[in-house]
Amino acid sequence: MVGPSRPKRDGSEPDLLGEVPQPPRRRLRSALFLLLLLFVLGWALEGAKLRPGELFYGIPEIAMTIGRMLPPDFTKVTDSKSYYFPESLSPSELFLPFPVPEDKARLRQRWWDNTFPQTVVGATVETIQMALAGTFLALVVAFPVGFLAARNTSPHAAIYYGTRLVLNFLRTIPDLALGLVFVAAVGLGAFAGTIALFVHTTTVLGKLLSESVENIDEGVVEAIRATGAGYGQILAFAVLPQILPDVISFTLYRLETNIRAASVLGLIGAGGIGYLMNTSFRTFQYQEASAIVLVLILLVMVVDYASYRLRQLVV
Amino acid sequence: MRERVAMAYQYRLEKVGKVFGRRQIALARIDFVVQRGEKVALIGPSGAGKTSLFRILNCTLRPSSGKLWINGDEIESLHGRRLREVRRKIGTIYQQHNLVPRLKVIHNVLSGRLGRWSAFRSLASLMRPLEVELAWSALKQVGIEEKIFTRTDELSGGQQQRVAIARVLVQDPEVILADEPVSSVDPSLAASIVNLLIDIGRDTHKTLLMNLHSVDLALAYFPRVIGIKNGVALFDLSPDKIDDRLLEDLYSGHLPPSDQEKVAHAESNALAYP
Ligand SMILES: Nc1ncnc2c1ncn2[C@@H]1O[C@H](COP(=O)(O)OP(=O)(O)OP(=O)(O)O)[C@@H](O)[C@H]1O
Ligand SMILES: [Mg+2]
Repeated sequence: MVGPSRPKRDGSEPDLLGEVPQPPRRRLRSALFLLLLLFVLGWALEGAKLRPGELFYGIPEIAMTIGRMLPPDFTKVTDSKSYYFPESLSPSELFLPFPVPEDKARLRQRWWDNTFPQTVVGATVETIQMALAGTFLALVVAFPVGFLAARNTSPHAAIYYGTRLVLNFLRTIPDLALGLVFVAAVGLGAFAGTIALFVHTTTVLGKLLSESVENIDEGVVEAIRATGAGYGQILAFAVLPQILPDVISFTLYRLETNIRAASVLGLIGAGGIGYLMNTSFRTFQYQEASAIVLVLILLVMVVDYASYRLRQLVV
Repeated sequence: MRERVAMAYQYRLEKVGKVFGRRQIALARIDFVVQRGEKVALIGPSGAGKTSLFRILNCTLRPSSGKLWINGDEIESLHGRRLREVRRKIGTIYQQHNLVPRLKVIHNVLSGRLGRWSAFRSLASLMRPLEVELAWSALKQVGIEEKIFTRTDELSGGQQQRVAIARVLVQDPEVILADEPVSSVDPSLAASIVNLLIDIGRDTHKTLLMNLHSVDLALAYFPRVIGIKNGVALFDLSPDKIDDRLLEDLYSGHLPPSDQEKVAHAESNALAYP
């Protein structure tokens, strides 16, 4: 639009040349920014204590450590002796989630809680369970929260700013820190880790979903509203179909991230395969540790691939 | 207080204006009355304010100034359920179609029923479409019934436009607002769609307002034509009184008017509503 200071036009003779605005030139500012960037980068490299020399002299040490990890020792993974099965329970009673007599139920509970997670396969399964449960619970909570935290669907400005504030605050807490808090609160084990994943994932998913909701085509919303539809109907017909691909791909992406996070949470005793890995390293069982690392890599690859295929299927 | 005016009026507009942001004036001052069952075409250059006017007429956009009565109800007095009830009786065919691209055609068509359906029915229909015959017959009227289970984003522009028309047909409103309903179809189909909407309007006594870029269609099919330019109605006449000079005025100087002019005009009708 033409600014108010421009001479009034009569509409017959457009002033073509005067209309073309010059692209702004900001050489000096760009140069200053570049200088500042270099300075900050130098400062960071200095503070990070990068000593290429030490790295160079450390190479033999690294090679030796890797040498000690080879070949990976899979006995702990494959050796049936490390897997103890309670004799009084049949495999179907142990593995299927059907009701059993009370004494057997207690036995089963103990096996799942304490015995099985000590094995590599058990810890891997536990890692997957933690990631799945944490992600799923987070989705259940983040889904409504995403609508409350989106400018265009939030029922009230106060709710919008309130949920944003809480989400942004909670999201600044790393999941490892949350893990420490919940280990202190509910004790060692997968439960603490799962809540940590749940809380962190809720904040991330809530934020991503609210952005997805804000990016929808408002024209569709208006068209649905114009038919006389109410709030829920607008969400179901105009908003949901538009954000569904995002919901699915964000959730799968967080599931991948949470598998990795769940493996690391074991380092602080919050369940999962990280605990076993840590023990092996601490007790200098390098070959055993490398076997666990390989299992972990395999797990992550399988989950990444599975979620890639799922995404292709639905989006 | 709700003011009652004679029930034969479908729409009554008094100095209706719309300002976007601080000074983007879409509508400066619009006054007109539309009787029930009347057929009116609106023409005018791009950016004249036709779409904004329709958004006000279907109660999804509040005017910044002036008054609007629909069927005797002053629009400012409507909220919640009553507002939705009024909206249900007004069907809009949007210039940009505004369909949900990822949904099947049938769901887009059936979204015209939402004003009548409960929340539960609506959800059920998303799982498994209800009232399929109704959607099918509406699609048949616009000639694309074979696309009923196709995903909407797989249709051509003209086919999508006809889905949008079918949505209004199943809504079965009292008023049809058609914003450029034939912009993406070929000329012969354009004429037959305008014809179809007029026929439907006549057979079921609907009020029909149509924005058209094609002056020929407007003059050929409508007994009343309103010319809109810079947010005001330049003329409001029957087609035989519209001559080339008027049309030239309407489309001449295809330049945005200076802002002082517009602002001065808008300030003269101080903003009556927030
Ligand atoms: N949401 C909005 N925000 C800001 N300005 C807007 C908005 N919608 C429309 N306008 C402006 O209001 C004016 C009228 O727009 P409108 O869409 O009503 O024109 P139109 O007559 O429908 O044009 P066309 O024939 O090209 O569809 C334009 O200058 C446009 O830029
Ligand atoms: Mg328009």
